[in-house]
Amino acid sequence: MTEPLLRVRDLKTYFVTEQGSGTARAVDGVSFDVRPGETLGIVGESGCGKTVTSLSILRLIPEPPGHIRPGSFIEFEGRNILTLEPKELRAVRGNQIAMIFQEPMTSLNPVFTVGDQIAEAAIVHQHLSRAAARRRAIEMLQLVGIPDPEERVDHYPHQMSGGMRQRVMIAMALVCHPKLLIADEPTTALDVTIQAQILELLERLQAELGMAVMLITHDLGVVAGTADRVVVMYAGQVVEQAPTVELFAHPVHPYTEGLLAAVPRLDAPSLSLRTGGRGRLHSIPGQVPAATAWPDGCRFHPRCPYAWDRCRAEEPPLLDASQGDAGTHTARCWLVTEPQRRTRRP
Amino acid sequence: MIAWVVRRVAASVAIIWAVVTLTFFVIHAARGSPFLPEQSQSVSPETLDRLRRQFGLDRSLPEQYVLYLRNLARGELGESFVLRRPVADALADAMPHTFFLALAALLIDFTAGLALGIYQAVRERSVGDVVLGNVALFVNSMPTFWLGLVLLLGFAQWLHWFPTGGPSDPVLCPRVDSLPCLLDFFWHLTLPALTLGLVGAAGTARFQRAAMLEVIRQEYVRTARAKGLREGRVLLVHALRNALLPFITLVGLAFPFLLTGAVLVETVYSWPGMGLLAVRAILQRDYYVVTGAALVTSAMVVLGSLMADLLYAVADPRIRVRGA
Amino acid sequence: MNIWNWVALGGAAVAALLVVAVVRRRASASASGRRFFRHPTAAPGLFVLAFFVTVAVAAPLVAPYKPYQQIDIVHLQNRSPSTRNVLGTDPFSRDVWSRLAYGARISLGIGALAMLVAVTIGGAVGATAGYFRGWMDAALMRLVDVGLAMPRIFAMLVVVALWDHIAVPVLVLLIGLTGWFATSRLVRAEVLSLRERDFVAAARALGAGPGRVIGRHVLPNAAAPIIVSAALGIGNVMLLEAGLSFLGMGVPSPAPSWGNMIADGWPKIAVAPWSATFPGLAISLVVMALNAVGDALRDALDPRKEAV
Repeated sequence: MTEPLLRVRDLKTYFVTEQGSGTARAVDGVSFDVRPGETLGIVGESGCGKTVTSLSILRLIPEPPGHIRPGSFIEFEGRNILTLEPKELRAVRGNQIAMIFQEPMTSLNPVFTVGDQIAEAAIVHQHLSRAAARRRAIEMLQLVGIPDPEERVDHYPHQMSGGMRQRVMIAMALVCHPKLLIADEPTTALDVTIQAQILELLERLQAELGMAVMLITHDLGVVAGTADRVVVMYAGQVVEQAPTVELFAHPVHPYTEGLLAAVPRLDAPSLSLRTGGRGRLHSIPGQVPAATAWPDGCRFHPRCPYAWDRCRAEEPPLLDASQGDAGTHTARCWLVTEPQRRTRRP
Repeated sequence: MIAWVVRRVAASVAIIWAVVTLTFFVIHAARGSPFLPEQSQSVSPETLDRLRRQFGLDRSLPEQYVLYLRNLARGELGESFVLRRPVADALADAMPHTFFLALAALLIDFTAGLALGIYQAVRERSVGDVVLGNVALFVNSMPTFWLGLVLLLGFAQWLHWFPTGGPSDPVLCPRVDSLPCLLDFFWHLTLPALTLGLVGAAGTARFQRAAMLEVIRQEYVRTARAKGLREGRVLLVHALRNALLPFITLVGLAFPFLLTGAVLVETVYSWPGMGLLAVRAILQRDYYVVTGAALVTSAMVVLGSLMADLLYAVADPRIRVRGA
Repeated sequence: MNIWNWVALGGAAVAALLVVAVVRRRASASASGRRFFRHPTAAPGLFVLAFFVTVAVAAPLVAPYKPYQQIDIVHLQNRSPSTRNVLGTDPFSRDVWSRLAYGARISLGIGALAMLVAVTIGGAVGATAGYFRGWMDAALMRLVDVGLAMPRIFAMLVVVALWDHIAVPVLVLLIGLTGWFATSRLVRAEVLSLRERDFVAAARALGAGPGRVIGRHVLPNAAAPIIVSAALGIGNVMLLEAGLSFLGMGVPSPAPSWGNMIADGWPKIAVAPWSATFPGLAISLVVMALNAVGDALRDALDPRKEAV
């Protein structure tokens, strides 16, 4: 097995909420790896800590109110990002690790041309001249499939459609050929057809540039076609982690099960059985609890159809549920030890 | 774009005309007449009549108004009764003083105000932010003329660092025509400009802090950080460029503030600018100086907001394109 | 100043504290009330306001002298602060503290009443313009443009010249009449957006007349910005009144408005700085308190912050 590109261990990012209503443990002991060149999907409902996890990797958490707890560990190519000096950190940001965000509308600066915004990272990290950076910006626009890049380079973000803007965001992120691209809900704000185009583009660029991609989404349907492995997050923790095929075929954690049931699928009638065979889209009852008060025991137990006494009392660790190589599939669920309790929903 | 400018200019002219007209009728309706100041009651009725005829005050008010407008169209602002000279000359003497006062005050206002506001926003909720915030709130709440009095008391009366008033030393520098006299002028300018500038800066700082805070939370600022830019560049290029857009509106609003402040500050420091001229003219019922001052002040206010709008259109690409 | 004046002054402070405590308790019941008091300067600001209002009401109790009383015109001019005259005496041998206490009535009263006039007119004009739109809107807003094109103090000076000796109610009315322009713009903008909302359309569909729609459905929903602008506006009015009085064109002279007091003390500021500085400090404090409360109100009433 190759050495991971990014190794996240026991990441804890807490937020101090106003008025002393407690500390929000948005990310609470998350560990996972990203290997070179692979696509890792991170999935969960909003409020699960996906975005905070991704922002923590580049130390973009606003401090205060947020802070990454001591003991957390984010290793990129053998260096702990959390202890980097500001200068070293800047050399990683936008250069080795780049990021694109959910809202291409608000993530681009409205008062600069897209060309300037793309060129900026190249000027800062690769010390290109303004003219060379501009040429690079045009190349990048072409690479991400924007027509008339020579003209578009001087346009302002508001002159472009949402899909175009997200392409610009991608161009901006990839201008320095990063080794890791973190894409935080890159398609959520877009129309369905544009979504597919953007995902296709990401996939093509990943193949061309050989980078690793961390794809963060609430939609398992998005990861199905793109990710090699999937990490499922719930309540600030990793609850299940497996290769994509394995996860879709044998989900272990009831939360993953629920998420899968919420994906409209045409190709897997067996899964649609879980919706009760009535073809109705199933969604998980209840909602993600507040990060200031995670439930005791298993954090999913209030919403879990199988929960029993042990789930309420004792928090499960990540247990090995692999069918093949050990450690390839883990889940934070007592069902791994007592599979017979997985009964049909009442 | 051009059509828009033409419309705005036309509207501005109409506004100024309305202000002048209102002022004209109100000040003519005011009690007392320019030739009967309380101190010189010895004027004989014959002289008074002659003077009234000479200045056309014996005609009916509408007639006088039409006459005034006709003269105005030719660029003549009339004659001051009290100063016995053309109003245009009196204004031309006073305006540079107010202009330099306002310019110096604006300089203090904007540099100090912007710097403080940005500093406070970047260090939100730090001790420095809280202390500066409260100081700014207090200074912003002071009556301008009272701050003038306090500064006058402290720096002129007690410390003797600055002169107590006037635009220049009347003996050594009756007019500003040499380098020492220029320095003397600046020396005289310091306290009045500081008075106006500090109150303005406090307001600007409060405004800019809020604008900057709003912008710092925007996602494009995070994008800029994610690119690996220096914090200085993130804040001063990516954030500030956006946070300066609302500030432009403030620039337009600064004109009325400065003019209002000038009326009082010029009185405190015997600064012979527009404000002092206007106040004296109102008290002495010097009709055409009053209307002339109304013309100039309203023109400056209207021009200020027009300039702010134009500046905004230039600075904000979103508006620029829409207007083109 | 005798012992009873001190007791009364202490009483005023306690009363102000009580007011803050009661308001805070009442406010804690609602989300916006809690947001108001979360603003660090809200409670101190409220205290300062309550204190000065109490002093104004209880002026005869906290002030040892009558505001016009010249204690000893020969020997007691420009006396520095002492136990007898806590804030000293002015050039006319009047007790500065007593004038300050009585002056609170005039200065705060003018501020509040003139703002009431301004908000009433501004609200009515803004609502009319925003609701009926069309030529009415255009005409009213051009009027507002003209009003805003003239620095307010300049307009006031010109208008005040119409009277030889201006009465305070007239002054209040005039200040109000020159102060509604900005409010009307604010209200108009609010009404323009509100009139498109469903509940207004529903009210109209049910046959409610314009007066009823504006009064019952539109204005209450536009209340938040009006209240905030009023709180901030009172401070402006007080500054304006002070400026006018300072120029001798405001409250007629022996009356102890804070602006008058500065004007009276100004010529002797080198020998008796207290008679001009203390009233100015009082104005600054009250205006600061109004600004602080206004800021807190804005944050508290801003519906966009409801979710936070």
